[in-house]
Amino acid sequence: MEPPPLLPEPQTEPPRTATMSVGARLMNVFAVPGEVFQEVKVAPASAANWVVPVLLFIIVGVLSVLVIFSQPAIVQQLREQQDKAIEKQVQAGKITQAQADQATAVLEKFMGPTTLKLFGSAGVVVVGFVRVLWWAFILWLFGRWVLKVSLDFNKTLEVAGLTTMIVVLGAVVALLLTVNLGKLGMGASLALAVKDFDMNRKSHLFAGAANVFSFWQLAVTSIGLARLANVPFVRAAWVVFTYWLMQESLLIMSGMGQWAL
Amino acid sequence: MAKSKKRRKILVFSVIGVVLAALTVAAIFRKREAVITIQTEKVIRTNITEIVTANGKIQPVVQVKISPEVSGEIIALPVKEGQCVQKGQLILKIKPDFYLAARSQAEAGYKSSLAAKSTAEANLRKAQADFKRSQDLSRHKLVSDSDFDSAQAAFDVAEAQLSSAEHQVEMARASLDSADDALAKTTIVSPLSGTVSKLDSEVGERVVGTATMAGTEVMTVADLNEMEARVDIGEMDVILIQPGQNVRLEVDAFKDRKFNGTVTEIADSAKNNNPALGISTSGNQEATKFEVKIRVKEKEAFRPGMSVTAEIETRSHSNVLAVPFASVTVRAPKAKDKKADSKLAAANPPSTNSVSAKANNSAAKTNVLVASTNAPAAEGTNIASADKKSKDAIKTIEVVFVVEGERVKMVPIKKGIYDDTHWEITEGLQEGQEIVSGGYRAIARDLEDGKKIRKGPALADKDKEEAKGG
Repeated sequence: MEPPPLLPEPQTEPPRTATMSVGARLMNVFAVPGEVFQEVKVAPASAANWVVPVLLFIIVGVLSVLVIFSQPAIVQQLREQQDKAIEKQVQAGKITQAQADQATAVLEKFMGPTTLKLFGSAGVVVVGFVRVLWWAFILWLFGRWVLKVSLDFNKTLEVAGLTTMIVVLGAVVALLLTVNLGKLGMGASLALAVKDFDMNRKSHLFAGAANVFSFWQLAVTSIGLARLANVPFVRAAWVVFTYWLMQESLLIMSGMGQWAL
Repeated sequence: MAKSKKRRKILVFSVIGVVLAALTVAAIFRKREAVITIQTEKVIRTNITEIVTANGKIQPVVQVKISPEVSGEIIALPVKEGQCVQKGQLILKIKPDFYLAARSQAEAGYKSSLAAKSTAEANLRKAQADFKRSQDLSRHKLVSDSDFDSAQAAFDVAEAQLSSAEHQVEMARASLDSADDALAKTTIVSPLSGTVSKLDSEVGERVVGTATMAGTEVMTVADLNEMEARVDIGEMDVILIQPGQNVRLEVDAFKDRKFNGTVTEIADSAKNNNPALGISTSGNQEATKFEVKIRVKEKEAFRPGMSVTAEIETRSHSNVLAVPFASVTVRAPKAKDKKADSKLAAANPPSTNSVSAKANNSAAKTNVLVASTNAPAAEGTNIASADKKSKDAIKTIEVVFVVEGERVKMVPIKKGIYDDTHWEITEGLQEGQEIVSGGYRAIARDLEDGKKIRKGPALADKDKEEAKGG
């Protein structure tokens, strides 16, 4: 029996020394991502391409958590959402009013702004790393199973890391919008057009997921995948956007919509 | 090519920079404050009838517990539980043998005493005759002094014996009457026309009876045509109850009907108290209750012991200003206002009505925040616990939040009476003012004078909206 045919190797240029500095790459990914990813493709692997963006993501994320949970309006909204969730349980007959009062007291004591800042900050650190690693894995899988191209995981990691810069910018804009508008879940998305944005409503979550920076990040990721796999941009974008749509829908419909924002 | 890339970079970074700068400037100069979601209602004029609700039992107005005055074995019990009896009808018979024998003995004693009296009379006549004869002989010096004295003494003795015999006859007569009475008491007739509501004994049982205290309770006869509800009212509410007040009654056995009644009697002492000792005989944990009797106007097949809930209309005010229960809460007055408000607080202490069914607990009706160290109070002072009543009266005042545009104003108020849903407001508000009526937490804790608010739907309405919009 003949051995199975080998997967075609992507045509790669011989490795050469990087011409852009790390800082330049991090900034140029906004304006000329194609150029950045072309260099990433041919240059030796560099951990800085993903570690630095992740660290920036963590710094911005922690800052966002600290600032947002210091806003009286935001804290008030959180309280109202907690009360609403508890009141729903009472009305559904799952708990008594006395138990609801106890739950409210416990939440006030253990889930106040200070606790939220602590847990939020810790969560940001975890999410920062998990997010990049996840996208790198997804891109690697797309290359192998969809595009039939063997990709180096380190390269997909660099692509995922560099596109995180757009997520960082989106987080800064979201922080400023949240502070300005005094509402949770704000970002450069259709959520701005929703009155009384409620993170417990699926329709509102879909509006929140339609974020300019998310689309931007997906487009840049598509460019990165296209460059690494030597495929047309349209084909790579089709794969990436389809995956994103499925992911967001699954998160929102399964009740984990907050992760979709 | 390189130029266009450079131009593109400049454009992208410029746009990003401008957007970030604009948002940052806006965030720095924007005033940040919490906006509290509330619901509102208007101050209205309405009639308010204050109701005190209490639970109790239906009992007959007249009810007699039948217990014998003599002891013995029951030989006849010609009635059954639930049977109607007439006044004077035989209801119980005790074995009379012992009492018959006692009567016979007493009769014999009486007759014996009569015979003794006759003997004493005869002796007296003889002694009298001997003394008279001796007197005559003594005048003529025909009998010695000693014989005369003996005759006189014998006469005196005979007189005394007759007197004693007469008293013995009286004693024997009384004994006979007592024996007759005890014999009569072996037959018991009904003291009133009514129904045997309870029958505790059977034929053949031995019962104990005494004349000085209640013996074995054999049965209870009650007039079921006149029934009353006996309810327990807490000490805080009993002062509102007066004889003649109208009452709506709901008997558990007749759920689909409401009955009317009138207060007839109010206990002067609490149920748990022993007036003789001047102390409560129960533990300190029990609430102090006073029994109130309510005559039921309608006739129905009530049975003694049926459960009843009474709603007593204590006071009624017409066309008064009223606000929903949830609107009224307490807050600590601000430092500069404490002097002025302490008078208001002393005159209008938080209501501490007793707990009972439906609408009797004013602590449940007003949004009172108890013993919370996180309660936002003016200038950081905490609200005192409701357990310290006297301190509460000084430290907190009752307020309502009036909506003024995008903010609320905390207005001290004076309350009057209340019904199921509304408080009467006697001071502080005007008709038509928009006041905060929900949510609970906003009123009880979050709202303060001048806070920014926004009107939102009530929680139930919000859930309906969500169900429509998903």
